[in-house]
Amino acid sequence: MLPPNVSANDFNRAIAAWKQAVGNEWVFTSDEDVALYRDAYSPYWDEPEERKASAAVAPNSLEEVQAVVRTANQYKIPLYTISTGRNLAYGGSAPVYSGSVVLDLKRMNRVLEVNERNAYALVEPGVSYFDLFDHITKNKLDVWIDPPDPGWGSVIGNALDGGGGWTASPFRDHFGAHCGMEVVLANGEVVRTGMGALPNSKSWQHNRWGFGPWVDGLFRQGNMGIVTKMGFHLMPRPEAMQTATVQGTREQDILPLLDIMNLLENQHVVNGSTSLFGGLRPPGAQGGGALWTLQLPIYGPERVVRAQMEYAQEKFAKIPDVRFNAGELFRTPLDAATLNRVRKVSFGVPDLSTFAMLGRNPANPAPPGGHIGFSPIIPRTGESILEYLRFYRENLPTVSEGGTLRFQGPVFMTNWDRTMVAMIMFPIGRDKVMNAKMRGAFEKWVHLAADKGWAEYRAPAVFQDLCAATYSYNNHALRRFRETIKDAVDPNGILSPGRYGVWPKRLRKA
Amino acid sequence: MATPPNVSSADFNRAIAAWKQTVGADWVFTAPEDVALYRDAYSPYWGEPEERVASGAVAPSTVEQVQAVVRTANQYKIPLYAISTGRNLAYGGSAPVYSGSVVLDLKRMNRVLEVNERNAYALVEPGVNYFDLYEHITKAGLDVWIDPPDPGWGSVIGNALDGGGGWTASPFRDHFGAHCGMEVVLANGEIVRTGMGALPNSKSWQHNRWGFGPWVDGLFRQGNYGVVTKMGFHLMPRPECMQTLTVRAPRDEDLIPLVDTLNLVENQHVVNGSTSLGGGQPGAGGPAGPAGWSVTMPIYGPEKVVRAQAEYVKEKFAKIAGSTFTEGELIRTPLDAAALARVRKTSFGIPDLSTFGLLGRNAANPSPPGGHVDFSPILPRTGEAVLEFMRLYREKLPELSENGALRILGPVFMTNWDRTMVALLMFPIGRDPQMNGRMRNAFRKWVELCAERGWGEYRAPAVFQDDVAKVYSYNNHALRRFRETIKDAVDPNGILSPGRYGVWPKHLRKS
Repeated sequence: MLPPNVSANDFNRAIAAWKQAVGNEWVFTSDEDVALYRDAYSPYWDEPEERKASAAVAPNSLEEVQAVVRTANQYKIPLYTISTGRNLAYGGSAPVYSGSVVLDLKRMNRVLEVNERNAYALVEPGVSYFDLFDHITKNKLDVWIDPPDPGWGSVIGNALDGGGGWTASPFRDHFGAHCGMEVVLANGEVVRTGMGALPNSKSWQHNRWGFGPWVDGLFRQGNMGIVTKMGFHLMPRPEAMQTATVQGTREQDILPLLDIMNLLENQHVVNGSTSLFGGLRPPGAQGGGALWTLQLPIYGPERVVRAQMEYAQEKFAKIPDVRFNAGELFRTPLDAATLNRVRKVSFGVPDLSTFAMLGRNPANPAPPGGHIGFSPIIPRTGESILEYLRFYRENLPTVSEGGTLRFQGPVFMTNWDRTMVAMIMFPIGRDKVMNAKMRGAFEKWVHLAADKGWAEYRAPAVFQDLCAATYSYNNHALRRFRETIKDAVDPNGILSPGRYGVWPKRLRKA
Repeated sequence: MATPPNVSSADFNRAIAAWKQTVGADWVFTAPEDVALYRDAYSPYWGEPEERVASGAVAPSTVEQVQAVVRTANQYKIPLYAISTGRNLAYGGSAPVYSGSVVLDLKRMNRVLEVNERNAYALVEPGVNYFDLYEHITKAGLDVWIDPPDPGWGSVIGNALDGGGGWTASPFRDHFGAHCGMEVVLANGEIVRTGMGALPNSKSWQHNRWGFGPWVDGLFRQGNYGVVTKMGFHLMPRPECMQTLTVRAPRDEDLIPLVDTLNLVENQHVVNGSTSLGGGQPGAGGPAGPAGWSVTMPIYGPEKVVRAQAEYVKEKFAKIAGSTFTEGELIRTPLDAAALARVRKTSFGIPDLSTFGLLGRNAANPSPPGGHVDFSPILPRTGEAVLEFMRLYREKLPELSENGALRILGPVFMTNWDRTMVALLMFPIGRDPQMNGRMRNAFRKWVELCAERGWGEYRAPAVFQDDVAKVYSYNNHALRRFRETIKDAVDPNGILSPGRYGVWPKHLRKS
């Protein structure tokens, strides 16, 4: 397979140059090697529209990345950058633009620095959460990382995809917690951002803003450059954690429940990753049990956590009939027995429990089923939750084709500060007819939600254009602004074309 | 009448006529006495040929008028310099970076568009100052705080875009960091909304800042890629109380564990107020004095939580032998008038001018005798770095101050920014060109001396922005060149605030 609009001669020349740059064994062109970059959760699996790579190249150093990019730029070959390629449910390691060469950064897996006193890390893109955790554990540093569900994923990749984890705010917003980047541009040049632009800088991982316009945001869900180093603020190990559970029985309870949770979170009294369950009572069930359940983890020194818990309890006590239960208080570090009965990621320990069953792994290279997530942001109010539920109930029969499409959800996610995501999961398998129906349904949900003023924070690669198109204010002014920047900084359009709806000039539909 | 560089007077007159049509004849200023109001009272080039002065000013009152003004400027290639209220004193005030620019004065766009108490956010226009927003909230009886900086008359948007900050709790006092969503007019007159605001009829513009796809908001921080016409900010629900803890330690070397412990309690978010580090002043206290260093730590929150946090902080600092710990008065909110009279108002979310009232230009004092410019290098947040800065300062001060003739004030070690240490020096600026010239030389030498040690500034007065931007030179100024590439693409005629923070459009760059 050739990249689009690239001659076989040019492609061969590029491959030869890449082999020179990174070593023969790190340029992959055989079908069986390239197939490893397929997205196991692709909603177009085995269909002509499946997004597939033409080859892959895996550099081991910044200089090799520069050389690979320069060659790609010379021959106008599209690259698709991945860190470890574990962005499962959102595209995995497959490119957005079919025929791209995957630029696989997994070999750049060096933990460059972990500073305990100032609580930060500087890492390369191939560093996974397990790698960083091991490094910190071996060196006995008293800082936590903030793992997301896929612990084998890249710390940098997760942040750049807009991912998050499960410990305390502000650390669990991974892009928000970063501090300083090194980026290779489409012309092969290296840029350091923030304080890192100062040669011999002493505060690259201390202050994120630096001097002058802040460009880091362009690389979030972006394709303006290749991030080769990135700093992250880490949380000093908190001494304790305790999770409050609050339950309400009436539908209308969600209004004050959520208002109080917002208050506590916006006051930063509750700093853990909260969750909200409920809203859908099984048909026929009447009253009785809890309709809504909130969970509010709090991290900090024991006496502070206890005081915060008391304060939270007082606030919720204002809602009649609401039940409040302060859970077990865990002291850190956890012993092995305790670690076995908690959700590890909530204690800064990476884990694969969420993905082990579903994901592609060595024992199970072609899993029977995957899923994709539909993740619209709605306002963080009880009224919005109720409106969303009405909307879901009203549209479900049609969109699910009378229930034959088995969506899971909605799951109301409150893990992002001040944000409410009403996630629906779509099972994806190997049945083309069913996958096509799922795609049709996904598209319908996107349009129905956009009509309500709700849109996605993230999307699987094959739906990024669809979601980006809904962000259309003033005739797609934001998209056009990004395209102007894209064309200027990557004139040949070689870096991850199409990622999050940003296409270079030569690939844009008029 | 001055004309902008490389613009014919015929074109300038046409532009002025068009602007008058757009915003009304009353809101286009070309008379020298009107334009002089935009001079920077703290300019280190006051009255000299290099002083950065405007050629005119235009003050639209709506986003549509901003669009029209920008389109006219783009048509005639007239440089505009956007200001919100122009109160960025000590960092350039309302004067343009590029002399001859027309000031685009957004003070009339002073509408508070929304303050949402339940979700604790505000959406404002650029002319809204901290007093305006505070009054709006007070009148409406909303239980949220704003985070005022020293210049309460300054713009909420302007302060955030200049990289300013305030004095209440983290994360709200990093004003750019606390913003959520923007509306921006581009050089071609088009409007872009960022984050969730790009969705028509969006319901969460001020809830989630990131939106979908590349995040462009950062480009408008200390930037010149567009004119921000609306901006959202997350607000803090009123905290129930505040208490300030103080730790003193006598010896120079105590600074190392002091800063380490301060970092720990801040990075744990146990201490959330704007901390400060006192001491280190040559001659003040001194090694034999009663207290070489002090750390002041305000904590905001519910009373029982604040008390628990104070106990925890006390235990942590108790490990430093010889240190003393003092718990200040616990102050409950809202404050009564008596309490208010004895506190620093900005620490309680109330805008105030006490810092600037004496120094700044104001109605009673249109031509103040003296001003200052700030030199603000970022050091690592460690005791070692502070001590190293002190050694450098003691070593270089005699020469750079011309043996004390230049009365440089400082260093003040500022820990108000999360995880950041700024070693601030203040340079007095007056009306004596000869003295100002010596201050400028000294300022530039400090920039170079610090850059050699890996310390660079987070902000700079307009006339020094090129000097400072130049030290951020990694890989042959790769970051500057990247920004220039973007600038040329999104503002091909280079009309928006040319030179701001060292970013010049192509036709004005020195090769």
